[in-house]
Amino acid sequence: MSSIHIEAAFKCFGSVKALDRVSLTAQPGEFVVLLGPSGSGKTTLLRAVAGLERLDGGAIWRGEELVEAPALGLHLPPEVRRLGMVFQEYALWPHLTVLENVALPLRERRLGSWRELAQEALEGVGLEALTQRLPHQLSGGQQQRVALARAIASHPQVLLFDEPLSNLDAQLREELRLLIARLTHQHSITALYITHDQSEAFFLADKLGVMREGQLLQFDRPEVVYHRPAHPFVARFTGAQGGLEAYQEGLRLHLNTMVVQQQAARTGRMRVYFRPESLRLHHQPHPQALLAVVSHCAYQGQHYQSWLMLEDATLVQAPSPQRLQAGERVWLEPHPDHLFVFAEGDE
Amino acid sequence: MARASTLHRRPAPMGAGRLLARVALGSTGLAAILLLLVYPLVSFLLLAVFPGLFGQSGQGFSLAAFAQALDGYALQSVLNSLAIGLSSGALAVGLGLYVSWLTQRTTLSVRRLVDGAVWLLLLTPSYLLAIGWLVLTQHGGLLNQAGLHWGWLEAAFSGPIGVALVLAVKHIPFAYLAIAPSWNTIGGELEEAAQVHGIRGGQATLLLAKLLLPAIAAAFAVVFAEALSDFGVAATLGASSNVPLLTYSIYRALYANPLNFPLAAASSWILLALAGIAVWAQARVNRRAAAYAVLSGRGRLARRVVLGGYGKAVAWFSLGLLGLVALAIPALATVFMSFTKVLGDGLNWANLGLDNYQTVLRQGDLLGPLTYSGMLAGLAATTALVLALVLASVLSSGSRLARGLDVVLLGTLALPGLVLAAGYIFAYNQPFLPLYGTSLLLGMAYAAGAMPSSSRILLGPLTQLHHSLGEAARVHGVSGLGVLRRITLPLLAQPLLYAWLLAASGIVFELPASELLYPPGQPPLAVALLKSVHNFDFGLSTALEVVAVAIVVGTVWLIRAVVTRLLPPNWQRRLNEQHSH
Amino acid sequence: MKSLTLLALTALTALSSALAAPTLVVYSAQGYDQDVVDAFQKATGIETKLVDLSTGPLVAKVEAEKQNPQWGLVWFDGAEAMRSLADQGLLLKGWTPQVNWNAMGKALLPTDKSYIPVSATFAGVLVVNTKVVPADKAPRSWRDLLKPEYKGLVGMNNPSISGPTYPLVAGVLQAQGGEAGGKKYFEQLKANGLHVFDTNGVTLKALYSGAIGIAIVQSSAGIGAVLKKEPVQLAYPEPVSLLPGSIGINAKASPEVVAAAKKFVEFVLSPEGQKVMLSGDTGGDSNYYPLLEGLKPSAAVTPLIGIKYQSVDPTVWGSREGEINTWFTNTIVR
Repeated sequence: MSSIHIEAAFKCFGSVKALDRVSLTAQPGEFVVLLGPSGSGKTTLLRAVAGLERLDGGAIWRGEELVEAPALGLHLPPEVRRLGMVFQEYALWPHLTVLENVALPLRERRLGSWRELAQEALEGVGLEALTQRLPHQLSGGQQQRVALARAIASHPQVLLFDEPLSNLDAQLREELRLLIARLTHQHSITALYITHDQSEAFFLADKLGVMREGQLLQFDRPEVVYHRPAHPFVARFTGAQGGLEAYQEGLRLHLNTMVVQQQAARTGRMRVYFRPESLRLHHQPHPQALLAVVSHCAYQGQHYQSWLMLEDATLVQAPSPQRLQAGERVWLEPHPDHLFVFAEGDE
Repeated sequence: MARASTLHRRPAPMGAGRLLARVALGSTGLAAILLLLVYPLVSFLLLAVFPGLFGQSGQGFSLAAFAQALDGYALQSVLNSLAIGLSSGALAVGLGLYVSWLTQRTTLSVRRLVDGAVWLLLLTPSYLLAIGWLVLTQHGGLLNQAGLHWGWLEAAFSGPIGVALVLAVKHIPFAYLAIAPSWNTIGGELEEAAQVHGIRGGQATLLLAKLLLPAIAAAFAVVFAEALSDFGVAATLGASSNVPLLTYSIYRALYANPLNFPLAAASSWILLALAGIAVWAQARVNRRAAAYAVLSGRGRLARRVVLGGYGKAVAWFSLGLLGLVALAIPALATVFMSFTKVLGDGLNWANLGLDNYQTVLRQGDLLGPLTYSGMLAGLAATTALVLALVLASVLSSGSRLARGLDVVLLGTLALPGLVLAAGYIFAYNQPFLPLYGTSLLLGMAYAAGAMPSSSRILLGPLTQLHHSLGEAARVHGVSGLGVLRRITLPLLAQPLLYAWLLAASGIVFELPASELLYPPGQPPLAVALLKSVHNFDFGLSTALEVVAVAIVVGTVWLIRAVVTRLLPPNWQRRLNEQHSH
Repeated sequence: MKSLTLLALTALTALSSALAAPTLVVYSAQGYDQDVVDAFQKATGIETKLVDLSTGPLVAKVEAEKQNPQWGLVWFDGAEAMRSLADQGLLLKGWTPQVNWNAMGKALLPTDKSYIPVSATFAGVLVVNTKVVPADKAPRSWRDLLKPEYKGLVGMNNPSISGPTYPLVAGVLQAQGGEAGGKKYFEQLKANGLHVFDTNGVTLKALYSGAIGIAIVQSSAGIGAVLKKEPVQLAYPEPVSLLPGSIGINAKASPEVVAAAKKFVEFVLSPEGQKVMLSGDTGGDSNYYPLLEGLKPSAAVTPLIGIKYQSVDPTVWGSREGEINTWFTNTIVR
């Protein structure tokens, strides 16, 4: 088992800071997910760990071994970093069969048991019957399973995932993310996984990092990120809504007509976010609730999901046990403990 | 801190070594370009403004050569070259588009046939095509002798139309090879999206053409440059129909008394400027079009159009017509001429026989030159290919260096071989670089001549290789060399083989550098062939050409067959094939 | 891949060093040159290497090498280009071999002895396709070509493109009483439908195919056509111009090379050398008029009896070549 430690990673592309002093540690056997929109620097960070991108500053350790340190002129090439990686575009070698694709890295490392290892990896992803096929004869999901088998075949201690599921449809995504979670835990692999899909991130992560514009805004257990986002962007990107204007005076937060008691005293203009499931719906006026007009309601199986327009024209979602009519007036009561309050200008 | 101490304990041997290797490779490529192309070309081109260089009888700085190169008659050749370059470029690209669409996007099973014809056409020297058509269509030619007096055809081929047509046909392969891979990159979904949204007919074609624009621009630039630099057609069809072309002006200034090197250099500058237009246009197109999808590890299936009866008929008819115009007619005319005993006796059975071939067989002294040229061609083509691979990978990077390189390479394509060869004399007949008169220099000139077109040919397949294929290999522990051996080479084996065969067979017949640079007493094949024909004995010379082309095509076929047998099967799969069926 | 390049380069270097240091380098455009070089090497033991090219590239090579000439001697047809090399100081002056010149030889010897004529052909004869123009109706003089019966039937090469054609044009100008009269003659010829092709090859092809009936070309090309049994015959209009084949020796060469080159010239003009020249290229260049007393041309060559010829002075016409060619291109070709 091996850890990954990144210290103040810095990288510029021209005048754009792709990585702005990012530090994080993935403990041995830990599954770390980096979540962020495109251009947030997560891909650059992953590629730097793989050795496919050179940092401009900072350092990367794999266990106790320093693998990247531009200040020392140190850059271990990818092939000696002993990693596994799964690419967004699968990156299967089109001229090799499924078995050969999985076996090539093993044979390159002169492992005598390459055939057994490859076979075992393919069984692990359920493709033992297709070993002689060529990549273009497989479906997208099958191709990504081959890529996964290739990455785990040599039992690497560290596995990198570059948005591996983004090219697949919903059902396959769910199937494969389960497979990935199972395989990595089974082999106690330290994983670094990047994605822009929050549900994927929460599903897989032991530790979750949220990135924006080259900066790591928060890095913590997914539960903490979900319940205590450290930054308005983290709140928004993990599904919180609102961004309502508010004013706090000491411990009292004034939100529209509501007054909510806060635990930390401060004074100034605030922005308030909340998660859909923390809203309670009232059909009558309520002192601790916000007035909203139903704009759309959709059936979701167990409940209904409604899109509601607040007085300041902010659109929010809330679950409801029954169907609401468009144009209907309702009152939304946020759970006071589940409000995310950020000082205005924290962005 | 433990980590801080590791930071000091571990120096960076690997990183520095790799960096050094990369720098070494890059500078080797750069040095090769400078020595093989830039230095000799610049040496020659400088004569345009410094006519007194290299001991020539001129003085100081002068623009007189440019004035000469742009006077009435010479200006005509500039305009002719431009018009013919543009029209043959447009025609070749149009035909290349259509044929590549047929092979890449329809279910018509012509892929093998077209590929074979494309390579055959690439191997055929342009003057053979021109002579074939000349023999057929000129006044008193084969058609006339057969009692057919098609004035329009004669008129077409004794004027600029014929020149443009033959040049276009000859260069269809360049357009085809440049465009064909792009059909795979613009996924069939795009076509379907157009259909679904009711975009039909001309509009849909236009939309598709816009997506293919970078490929079309690249194809046009290459054909334009190649057509400008062509000498075979200029010296035959062009010369016999009073259509002076720039390459021929350069030839005249270099070879016809009184010699005028500054004029040849000035005309070369003009040719370069014309090629520059194409480069500029291509760069503009590329800047506008985003570089979109290339072949990735994701095996996406390209959708193919099922042609209806009418479409099939049109396709077969047009392919047949192209084959006839490009290969069958010139080949038949040439072969026919080689069987003719006495040209003046015209078309009759008694006048046909193997006399010329018997004479060819008596030319025993051609064996030495054939071996010499074959050996040099093999070495030079290998060198050219190695360099071309380096250049193509630089070109595909799209960096500023790549753009500069592109200009140099296209410029070289546009200049006739004659200019490079003459430049080699000036550049290497120097006390500090006494290479002139050696086989080494001749080999260098051959490699230099083959390099630009080889790198162009390799560019397509190379850009198709998605970078993630190599990255995936390296991340999983495959070394740089391993990537080359296991991934890059197998995927490029076919194009590399073809590019090598093309370069080598071109070198075997190369004339200008052979003439100007061969070591005394050691004539290459092209020189020996020329010498064995005296006094315009056309029957004998065509017979010699037929035999020589047959030998080369046979050798090419043989090498291909042997290599294909030796290559592991997965090296033989072509990139495109993985997308079809 | 890189080692392969290295291998190739090593092989090429090895090859080139094996070929280095020839004693006498002969640059020649003559069809029989290889035979003469072989015979000379055998007779004298002097190592001799040949570069055989047609006149155009050959002269271009010599001019491009000016700074550092690689040749010992240069040998081709046409006095004007040789004159131009001599005027640039590239040729050894003041030496001729001691041989018994005939009248033609004496007429061709340059006064400054900067090159040595060793053979002669005619710059322009009329080659007539007898299927188009019957033998008994063939033209006999330059003036005949202006007759209406030959309208549109006469073809020749463009002197600014085809090297050996300028001596012919100069000869016609000289025979028509100088530049003014000669230019007028060509204008009349043009008015009578003269076809101008770029090169000999194209002109002859047009003649064989019957596109034209009369081609004005170098005599050796005409004799070659007769030998090839093409349906042609030759006519020698008065006067035809001599086209000498000459040898020039490199003025900058080392004394050893100059001595070897002189030996080569002496060999060429010896009975032994002439025998090789007369038999080395029977379909082409061997059909020349020898310049030595008592030697006869080959059987295919029309005997001199009855042919009136003139020598075109290269010191007069050589310097006008550029101007006349430009005039021809602009006035006659267009």
